[in-house]
Amino acid sequence: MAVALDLADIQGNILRAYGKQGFPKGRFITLHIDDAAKGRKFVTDLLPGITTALPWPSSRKPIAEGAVRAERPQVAVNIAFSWYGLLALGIPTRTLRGMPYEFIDGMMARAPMTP
Amino acid sequence: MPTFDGGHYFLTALIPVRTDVMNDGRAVTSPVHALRKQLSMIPTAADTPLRGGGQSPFARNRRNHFARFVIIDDVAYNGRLGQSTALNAINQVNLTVAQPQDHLKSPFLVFVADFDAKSGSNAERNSYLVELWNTAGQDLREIFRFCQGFDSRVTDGTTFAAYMADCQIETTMSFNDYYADPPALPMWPADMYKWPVIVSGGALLLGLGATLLLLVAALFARSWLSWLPYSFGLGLVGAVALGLIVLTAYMSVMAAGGKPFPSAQDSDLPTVLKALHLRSAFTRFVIDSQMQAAGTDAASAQKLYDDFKSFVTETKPHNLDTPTQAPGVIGI
Repeated sequence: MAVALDLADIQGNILRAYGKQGFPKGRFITLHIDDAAKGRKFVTDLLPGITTALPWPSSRKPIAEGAVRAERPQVAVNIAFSWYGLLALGIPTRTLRGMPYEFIDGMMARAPMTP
Repeated sequence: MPTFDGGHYFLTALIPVRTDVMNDGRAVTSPVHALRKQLSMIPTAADTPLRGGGQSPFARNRRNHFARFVIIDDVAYNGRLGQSTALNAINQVNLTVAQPQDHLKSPFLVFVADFDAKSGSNAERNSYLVELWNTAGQDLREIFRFCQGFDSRVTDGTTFAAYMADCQIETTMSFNDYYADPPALPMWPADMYKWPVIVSGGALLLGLGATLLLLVAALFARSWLSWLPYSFGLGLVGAVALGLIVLTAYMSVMAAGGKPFPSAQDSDLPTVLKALHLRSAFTRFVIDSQMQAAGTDAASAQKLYDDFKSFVTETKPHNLDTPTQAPGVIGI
Protein backbone atom coordinates (compact mmCIF):
# COMPACT_ATOMS: atom_id res chain seq x y z
CA MET A 1 0.00 0.00 0.00
CA ALA A 2 1.37 3.39 -0.95
CA VAL A 3 1.76 6.35 1.39
CA ALA A 4 -1.22 8.74 1.16
CA LEU A 5 0.24 12.25 1.05
CA ASP A 6 -1.69 15.04 2.76
CA LEU A 7 -1.73 17.20 -0.36
CA ALA A 8 -3.43 20.11 1.42
CA ASP A 9 -0.40 20.32 3.72
CA ILE A 10 2.15 20.47 0.87
CA GLN A 11 2.79 23.60 -1.20
CA GLY A 12 2.00 23.38 -4.89
CA ASN A 13 5.51 24.28 -6.04
CA ILE A 14 6.87 21.15 -4.34
CA LEU A 15 4.91 18.64 -6.40
CA ARG A 16 3.98 20.57 -9.56
CA ALA A 17 5.97 21.71 -12.56
CA TYR A 18 4.34 25.14 -12.84
CA GLY A 19 6.17 25.91 -16.09
CA LYS A 20 4.47 22.99 -17.81
CA GLN A 21 1.06 23.79 -16.36
CA GLY A 22 0.52 27.24 -17.84
CA PHE A 23 2.56 29.36 -15.44
CA PRO A 24 5.59 30.29 -17.56
CA LYS A 25 6.63 33.37 -15.55
CA GLY A 26 7.64 33.69 -11.94
CA ARG A 27 8.24 36.58 -9.61
CA PHE A 28 10.04 36.53 -6.26
CA ILE A 29 9.12 39.06 -3.60
CA THR A 30 11.33 39.19 -0.51
CA LEU A 31 9.82 40.59 2.64
CA HIS A 32 11.57 41.83 5.76
CA ILE A 33 9.92 41.32 9.15
CA ASP A 34 10.28 44.02 11.79
CA ASP A 35 7.36 43.22 14.04
CA ALA A 36 6.94 39.54 14.97
CA ALA A 37 3.21 39.74 15.81
CA LYS A 38 2.36 41.67 12.63
CA GLY A 39 4.52 39.31 10.61
CA ARG A 40 2.65 36.29 11.96
CA LYS A 41 -0.68 37.97 11.23
CA PHE A 42 0.47 38.64 7.66
CA VAL A 43 1.38 34.97 7.19
CA THR A 44 -1.95 33.84 8.71
CA ASP A 45 -3.88 36.16 6.37
CA LEU A 46 -1.85 34.97 3.40
CA LEU A 47 -2.40 31.26 4.14
CA PRO A 48 -5.81 30.81 2.45
CA GLY A 49 -4.27 32.20 -0.75
CA ILE A 50 -1.38 29.74 -0.86
CA THR A 51 -1.49 27.25 -3.73
CA THR A 52 -1.45 23.74 -2.30
CA ALA A 53 -0.64 20.46 -4.02
CA LEU A 54 -4.32 19.48 -4.14
CA PRO A 55 -5.29 18.43 -7.69
CA TRP A 56 -7.15 20.93 -9.89
CA PRO A 57 -10.02 19.78 -12.07
CA SER A 58 -8.72 19.05 -15.57
CA SER A 59 -9.96 17.36 -18.72
CA ARG A 60 -7.82 14.31 -17.98
CA LYS A 61 -8.75 14.03 -14.30
CA PRO A 62 -12.22 15.53 -13.85
CA ILE A 63 -13.55 16.14 -10.34
CA ALA A 64 -17.30 15.72 -9.85
CA GLU A 65 -19.38 18.89 -10.10
CA GLY A 66 -20.56 20.04 -6.69
CA ALA A 67 -17.75 18.26 -4.84
CA VAL A 68 -15.44 20.45 -2.79
CA ARG A 69 -12.37 21.03 -4.92
CA ALA A 70 -9.37 23.30 -5.18
CA GLU A 71 -9.85 25.54 -8.22
CA ARG A 72 -7.02 26.34 -10.56
CA PRO A 73 -5.72 29.76 -9.44
CA GLN A 74 -5.02 32.75 -11.73
CA VAL A 75 -1.64 33.07 -10.10
CA ALA A 76 0.07 30.36 -8.08
CA VAL A 77 1.33 31.76 -4.76
CA ASN A 78 3.85 30.03 -2.54
CA ILE A 79 5.93 31.13 0.41
CA ALA A 80 9.27 30.20 1.91
CA PHE A 81 11.17 31.34 4.97
CA SER A 82 14.81 31.75 5.80
CA TRP A 83 15.89 30.62 9.25
CA TYR A 84 16.40 34.25 10.29
CA GLY A 85 12.91 34.98 8.97
CA LEU A 86 11.48 32.35 11.30
CA LEU A 87 13.50 33.84 14.15
CA ALA A 88 12.08 37.28 13.36
CA LEU A 89 8.56 35.81 13.41
CA GLY A 90 9.15 34.67 16.99
CA ILE A 91 8.98 30.93 16.33
CA PRO A 92 9.64 29.01 19.57
CA THR A 93 13.34 28.32 20.22
CA ARG A 94 12.44 24.68 20.68
CA THR A 95 11.37 24.55 17.02
CA LEU A 96 14.24 26.67 15.71
CA ARG A 97 16.94 24.54 17.34
CA GLY A 98 15.62 21.47 15.57
CA MET A 99 16.32 22.87 12.09
CA PRO A 100 19.14 21.48 9.92
CA TYR A 101 22.47 23.33 10.17
CA GLU A 102 22.52 23.87 6.40
CA PHE A 103 19.19 25.73 6.64
CA ILE A 104 20.35 27.79 9.61
CA ASP A 105 23.58 28.74 7.81
CA GLY A 106 21.67 29.82 4.72
CA MET A 107 22.67 29.95 1.06
CA MET A 108 25.07 32.90 1.35
CA ALA A 109 27.19 31.25 4.02
CA ARG A 110 27.28 27.97 2.12
CA ALA A 111 27.86 29.39 -1.37
CA PRO A 112 31.70 29.21 -1.18
CA MET A 113 31.42 25.45 -0.62
CA THR A 114 30.20 24.86 -4.17
CA PRO A 115 32.91 24.65 -6.85
CA MET B 1 -8.41 -5.84 32.16
CA PRO B 2 -6.40 -2.61 32.10
CA THR B 3 -9.29 -0.64 30.59
CA PHE B 4 -10.56 -0.60 34.17
CA ASP B 5 -7.94 -0.54 36.90
CA GLY B 6 -7.43 0.99 40.32
CA GLY B 7 -10.89 2.55 40.43
CA HIS B 8 -10.35 4.40 37.15
CA TYR B 9 -11.69 3.73 33.68
CA PHE B 10 -9.05 4.27 30.97
CA LEU B 11 -10.81 5.07 27.73
CA THR B 12 -8.87 4.77 24.48
CA ALA B 13 -10.61 5.49 21.18
CA LEU B 14 -9.12 5.47 17.68
CA ILE B 15 -11.34 7.55 15.42
CA PRO B 16 -10.73 7.57 11.65
CA VAL B 17 -10.32 11.07 10.19
CA ARG B 18 -12.14 11.97 6.95
CA THR B 19 -10.05 11.89 3.81
CA ASP B 20 -12.20 13.95 1.45
CA VAL B 21 -11.19 17.48 0.51
CA MET B 22 -13.14 20.09 2.48
CA ASN B 23 -13.56 23.81 2.93
CA ASP B 24 -12.75 24.93 6.47
CA GLY B 25 -14.34 28.34 5.93
CA ARG B 26 -11.15 30.03 4.73
CA ALA B 27 -9.59 27.69 2.21
CA VAL B 28 -9.95 24.31 0.55
CA THR B 29 -7.95 21.94 2.70
CA SER B 30 -7.80 18.41 4.08
CA PRO B 31 -9.73 17.40 7.23
CA VAL B 32 -6.59 16.24 9.03
CA HIS B 33 -4.91 19.60 8.38
CA ALA B 34 -7.96 21.49 9.65
CA LEU B 35 -8.25 19.13 12.63
CA ARG B 36 -4.64 19.75 13.62
CA LYS B 37 -5.27 23.49 13.49
CA GLN B 38 -8.44 23.11 15.59
CA LEU B 39 -6.63 21.02 18.21
CA SER B 40 -3.84 23.58 18.44
CA MET B 41 -6.39 26.20 19.45
CA ILE B 42 -7.91 24.34 22.43
CA PRO B 43 -6.71 25.82 25.72
CA THR B 44 -4.98 23.01 27.59
CA ALA B 45 -5.79 24.40 31.04
CA ALA B 46 -6.65 27.74 32.62
CA ASP B 47 -4.68 30.12 30.38
CA THR B 48 -3.12 33.32 31.59
CA PRO B 49 -4.80 36.52 30.31
CA LEU B 50 -1.77 37.02 28.04
CA ARG B 51 -2.55 33.74 26.29
CA GLY B 52 -6.22 34.58 25.87
CA GLY B 53 -7.55 33.59 29.29
CA GLY B 54 -9.31 30.47 27.96
CA GLN B 55 -10.08 27.32 29.86
CA SER B 56 -9.94 23.69 28.72
CA PRO B 57 -13.38 22.33 27.79
CA PHE B 58 -12.55 19.25 29.86
CA ALA B 59 -12.54 21.40 33.01
CA ARG B 60 -16.29 21.96 32.72
CA ASN B 61 -17.17 18.83 34.64
CA ARG B 62 -15.56 17.17 37.62
CA ARG B 63 -14.92 13.76 36.09
CA ASN B 64 -11.82 14.12 33.91
CA HIS B 65 -8.55 13.15 35.49
CA PHE B 66 -6.65 13.39 32.22
CA ALA B 67 -7.75 13.77 28.61
CA ARG B 68 -5.56 13.85 25.53
CA PHE B 69 -5.93 14.13 21.77
CA VAL B 70 -3.25 12.86 19.38
CA ILE B 71 -3.27 12.54 15.60
CA ILE B 72 -1.71 9.47 14.02
CA ASP B 73 -0.98 10.25 10.37
CA ASP B 74 0.44 6.89 9.47
CA VAL B 75 2.29 3.99 11.00
CA ALA B 76 6.06 4.28 10.95
CA TYR B 77 8.12 1.84 8.92
CA ASN B 78 10.50 0.20 11.37
CA GLY B 79 12.93 -1.02 8.76
CA ARG B 80 13.53 -4.33 7.12
CA LEU B 81 12.51 -7.44 9.03
CA GLY B 82 15.77 -9.18 9.84
CA GLN B 83 16.48 -12.75 8.86
CA SER B 84 19.41 -15.11 9.21
CA THR B 85 22.18 -14.30 6.71
CA ALA B 86 22.61 -18.01 6.05
CA LEU B 87 18.90 -18.41 5.24
CA ASN B 88 19.05 -15.35 2.96
CA ALA B 89 21.99 -16.87 1.10
CA ILE B 90 20.26 -20.24 0.70
CA ASN B 91 16.96 -18.70 -0.41
CA GLN B 92 18.80 -16.18 -2.61
CA VAL B 93 16.96 -13.23 -1.06
CA ASN B 94 17.72 -9.99 -2.86
CA LEU B 95 18.20 -7.42 -0.09
CA THR B 96 17.83 -4.52 -2.50
CA VAL B 97 14.19 -5.42 -3.13
CA ALA B 98 12.03 -3.61 -0.59
CA GLN B 99 9.73 -5.53 1.71
CA PRO B 100 6.04 -4.59 1.73
CA GLN B 101 5.21 -1.70 4.09
CA ASP B 102 2.00 -1.17 6.03
CA HIS B 103 0.15 2.12 5.81
CA LEU B 104 -3.11 3.37 7.28
CA LYS B 105 -6.09 3.99 5.02
CA SER B 106 -6.75 7.28 6.78
CA PRO B 107 -5.21 9.32 9.59
CA PHE B 108 -6.63 8.56 13.04
CA LEU B 109 -7.56 10.81 15.93
CA VAL B 110 -6.67 9.19 19.24
CA PHE B 111 -8.69 10.20 22.28
CA VAL B 112 -7.60 8.95 25.68
CA ALA B 113 -9.21 9.88 28.96
CA ASP B 114 -9.42 8.48 32.46
CA PHE B 115 -12.19 9.00 34.93
CA ASP B 116 -13.49 7.57 38.22
CA ALA B 117 -15.46 4.34 37.92
CA LYS B 118 -16.65 1.69 40.32
CA SER B 119 -16.97 -1.39 38.13
CA GLY B 120 -15.66 -0.44 34.67
CA SER B 121 -18.98 -1.27 33.05
CA ASN B 122 -20.05 0.09 29.67
CA ALA B 123 -22.85 2.01 31.41
CA GLU B 124 -20.25 3.98 33.39
CA ARG B 125 -18.33 4.78 30.20
CA ASN B 126 -21.53 5.93 28.51
CA SER B 127 -22.55 8.09 31.46
CA TYR B 128 -19.11 9.78 31.35
CA LEU B 129 -19.35 10.40 27.59
CA VAL B 130 -22.89 11.76 27.89
CA GLU B 131 -21.82 14.16 30.63
CA LEU B 132 -18.77 15.17 28.57
CA TRP B 133 -21.05 15.92 25.63
CA ASN B 134 -23.53 17.82 27.78
CA THR B 135 -20.82 20.07 29.24
CA ALA B 136 -18.48 20.47 26.24
CA GLY B 137 -20.53 19.29 23.27
CA GLN B 138 -19.94 22.32 21.06
CA ASP B 139 -16.16 22.17 21.51
CA LEU B 140 -16.19 18.42 20.83
CA ARG B 141 -18.24 18.92 17.67
CA GLU B 142 -15.63 21.41 16.39
CA ILE B 143 -13.04 18.63 16.75
CA PHE B 144 -14.94 15.50 15.82
CA ARG B 145 -16.63 16.97 12.74
CA PHE B 146 -13.44 16.12 10.86
CA CYS B 147 -13.91 12.44 11.71
CA GLN B 148 -15.64 9.86 9.55
CA GLY B 149 -19.34 9.36 10.15
CA PHE B 150 -19.55 11.89 12.99
CA ASP B 151 -21.88 14.43 11.37
CA SER B 152 -24.36 11.82 10.24
CA ARG B 153 -24.39 9.80 13.47
CA VAL B 154 -23.95 12.16 16.42
CA THR B 155 -26.77 14.44 17.46
CA ASP B 156 -26.70 14.25 21.27
CA GLY B 157 -24.88 12.70 24.23
CA THR B 158 -26.30 9.21 23.72
CA THR B 159 -25.33 9.04 20.05
CA PHE B 160 -21.89 10.48 20.91
CA ALA B 161 -21.40 7.70 23.49
CA ALA B 162 -22.43 5.08 20.91
CA TYR B 163 -20.05 6.58 18.31
CA MET B 164 -17.13 6.54 20.75
CA ALA B 165 -17.99 3.01 21.89
CA ASP B 166 -17.64 1.83 18.28
CA CYS B 167 -14.18 3.41 18.06
CA GLN B 168 -13.01 2.16 21.46
CA ILE B 169 -10.06 -0.21 21.67
CA GLU B 170 -8.75 -2.07 24.70
CA THR B 171 -6.34 -0.05 26.79
CA THR B 172 -3.28 -2.18 27.30
CA MET B 173 -1.20 0.18 29.39
CA SER B 174 -3.04 2.22 31.98
CA PHE B 175 -1.58 5.11 33.88
CA ASN B 176 -2.11 4.65 37.64
CA ASP B 177 -0.51 7.60 39.31
CA TYR B 178 -2.21 7.79 42.71
CA TYR B 179 -0.59 4.93 44.59
CA ALA B 180 1.20 6.55 47.52
CA ASP B 181 1.57 3.10 49.07
CA PRO B 182 1.54 -0.20 47.19
CA PRO B 183 -1.93 -1.78 47.35
CA ALA B 184 -2.44 -4.79 49.63
CA LEU B 185 -2.74 -7.63 47.15
CA PRO B 186 -3.62 -11.21 48.16
CA MET B 187 -0.83 -13.78 47.79
CA TRP B 188 -1.24 -16.50 45.23
CA PRO B 189 -2.07 -19.70 47.24
CA ALA B 190 1.07 -21.65 46.34
CA ASP B 191 0.60 -24.00 49.35
CA MET B 192 -2.65 -25.24 47.87
CA TYR B 193 -0.73 -26.76 44.95
CA LYS B 194 2.25 -28.09 46.91
CA TRP B 195 0.97 -31.52 48.00
CA PRO B 196 -0.94 -32.35 44.80
CA VAL B 197 2.26 -31.62 42.82
CA ILE B 198 4.38 -33.77 45.18
CA VAL B 199 1.91 -36.69 45.08
CA SER B 200 1.29 -36.65 41.33
CA GLY B 201 4.98 -36.01 40.55
CA GLY B 202 5.93 -38.86 42.91
CA ALA B 203 3.47 -41.20 41.19
CA LEU B 204 4.91 -40.23 37.81
CA LEU B 205 8.51 -40.82 38.91
CA LEU B 206 7.61 -44.06 40.73
CA GLY B 207 5.71 -45.37 37.69
CA LEU B 208 8.55 -44.49 35.31
CA GLY B 209 11.22 -45.93 37.60
CA ALA B 210 9.27 -49.14 38.13
CA THR B 211 8.65 -49.50 34.39
CA LEU B 212 12.38 -49.19 33.67
CA LEU B 213 13.27 -51.66 36.42
CA LEU B 214 10.68 -54.16 35.16
CA LEU B 215 12.00 -53.88 31.61
CA VAL B 216 15.53 -54.58 32.86
CA ALA B 217 14.26 -57.44 35.03
CA ALA B 218 12.35 -58.89 32.06
CA LEU B 219 15.68 -59.43 30.33
CA PHE B 220 16.40 -62.09 32.94
CA ALA B 221 12.87 -63.49 33.56
CA ARG B 222 9.95 -62.84 31.22
CA SER B 223 7.43 -63.30 34.04
CA TRP B 224 8.23 -59.76 35.28
CA LEU B 225 6.48 -58.39 32.15
CA SER B 226 3.05 -59.20 33.64
CA TRP B 227 3.63 -56.37 36.19
CA LEU B 228 4.35 -53.84 33.44
CA PRO B 229 0.75 -52.52 32.90
CA TYR B 230 0.51 -51.57 36.62
CA SER B 231 3.72 -49.58 36.72
CA PHE B 232 3.05 -47.96 33.36
CA GLY B 233 -0.51 -47.14 34.46
CA LEU B 234 0.77 -45.52 37.66
CA GLY B 235 3.19 -43.34 35.66
CA LEU B 236 0.44 -42.36 33.22
CA VAL B 237 -2.01 -41.41 35.99
CA GLY B 238 0.75 -39.37 37.65
CA ALA B 239 1.56 -37.56 34.36
CA VAL B 240 -2.09 -36.72 33.65
CA ALA B 241 -2.69 -35.52 37.22
CA LEU B 242 0.48 -33.38 37.17
CA GLY B 243 -0.55 -31.88 33.81
CA LEU B 244 -4.01 -31.00 35.14
CA ILE B 245 -2.57 -29.42 38.31
CA VAL B 246 -0.08 -27.29 36.34
CA LEU B 247 -2.86 -26.20 33.96
CA THR B 248 -5.13 -25.24 36.87
CA ALA B 249 -2.32 -23.30 38.54
CA TYR B 250 -1.52 -21.47 35.28
CA MET B 251 -5.16 -20.54 34.75
CA SER B 252 -5.44 -19.37 38.35
CA VAL B 253 -2.37 -17.11 37.92
CA MET B 254 -3.75 -15.68 34.67
CA ALA B 255 -7.17 -15.08 36.25
CA ALA B 256 -5.54 -13.32 39.23
CA GLY B 257 -3.47 -11.18 36.83
CA GLY B 258 -6.59 -10.20 34.91
CA LYS B 259 -8.32 -8.78 37.97
CA PRO B 260 -8.25 -4.98 38.28
CA PHE B 261 -6.23 -3.45 41.10
CA PRO B 262 -8.24 -2.10 44.02
CA SER B 263 -8.82 1.66 44.13
CA ALA B 264 -5.98 3.63 45.63
CA GLN B 265 -6.97 5.54 48.74
CA ASP B 266 -8.38 9.02 48.10
CA SER B 267 -7.81 8.77 44.34
CA ASP B 268 -11.17 10.00 43.05
CA LEU B 269 -11.15 13.41 41.41
CA PRO B 270 -13.13 15.39 44.06
CA THR B 271 -10.64 14.20 46.75
CA VAL B 272 -7.64 15.00 44.55
CA LEU B 273 -8.98 18.51 43.88
CA LYS B 274 -9.66 19.04 47.57
CA ALA B 275 -6.12 17.89 48.40
CA LEU B 276 -4.66 20.35 45.87
CA HIS B 277 -6.76 23.14 47.36
CA LEU B 278 -5.67 22.26 50.91
CA ARG B 279 -2.05 22.15 49.86
CA SER B 280 -2.12 25.60 48.31
CA ALA B 281 -4.18 27.06 51.19
CA PHE B 282 -1.83 25.53 53.77
CA THR B 283 1.23 26.85 51.92
CA ARG B 284 -0.30 30.32 52.11
CA PHE B 285 -1.09 29.78 55.82
CA VAL B 286 2.50 28.74 56.57
CA ILE B 287 3.89 31.82 54.80
CA ASP B 288 1.47 34.14 56.61
CA SER B 289 2.13 32.59 60.04
CA GLN B 290 5.92 32.74 60.02
CA MET B 291 6.07 35.62 62.55
CA GLN B 292 3.80 33.82 65.04
CA ALA B 293 5.73 30.56 64.60
CA ALA B 294 9.04 32.33 65.26
CA GLY B 295 7.70 34.17 68.34
CA THR B 296 8.49 32.74 71.76
CA ASP B 297 5.90 34.62 73.81
CA ALA B 298 2.52 33.24 74.83
CA ALA B 299 0.60 35.77 72.68
CA SER B 300 2.26 34.51 69.47
CA ALA B 301 1.47 30.93 70.38
CA GLN B 302 -2.15 31.83 71.08
CA LYS B 303 -2.39 33.77 67.79
CA LEU B 304 -0.94 30.81 65.86
CA TYR B 305 -3.42 28.51 67.59
CA ASP B 306 -6.36 30.79 66.77
CA ASP B 307 -5.20 31.28 63.18
CA PHE B 308 -4.94 27.55 62.59
CA LYS B 309 -8.39 27.09 64.08
CA SER B 310 -9.84 29.62 61.67
CA PHE B 311 -7.81 28.00 58.80
CA VAL B 312 -9.51 24.65 59.54
CA THR B 313 -12.90 26.33 59.86
CA GLU B 314 -12.47 28.08 56.52
CA THR B 315 -10.98 25.22 54.48
CA LYS B 316 -13.26 22.47 55.89
CA PRO B 317 -10.82 19.57 55.23
CA HIS B 318 -13.59 16.96 55.36
CA ASN B 319 -15.95 18.73 52.97
CA LEU B 320 -15.06 17.61 49.43
CA ASP B 321 -17.48 19.98 47.70
CA THR B 322 -16.48 23.36 49.04
CA PRO B 323 -14.10 25.08 49.25
CA THR B 324 -12.06 23.21 46.67
CA GLN B 325 -9.85 23.78 43.64
CA ALA B 326 -11.58 24.24 40.31
CA PRO B 327 -10.65 21.61 37.70
CA GLY B 328 -8.15 22.64 35.02
CA VAL B 329 -6.25 25.04 37.25
CA ILE B 330 -2.50 24.68 37.53
CA GLY B 331 -0.77 26.23 40.51
CA ILE B 332 0.60 25.53 43.96
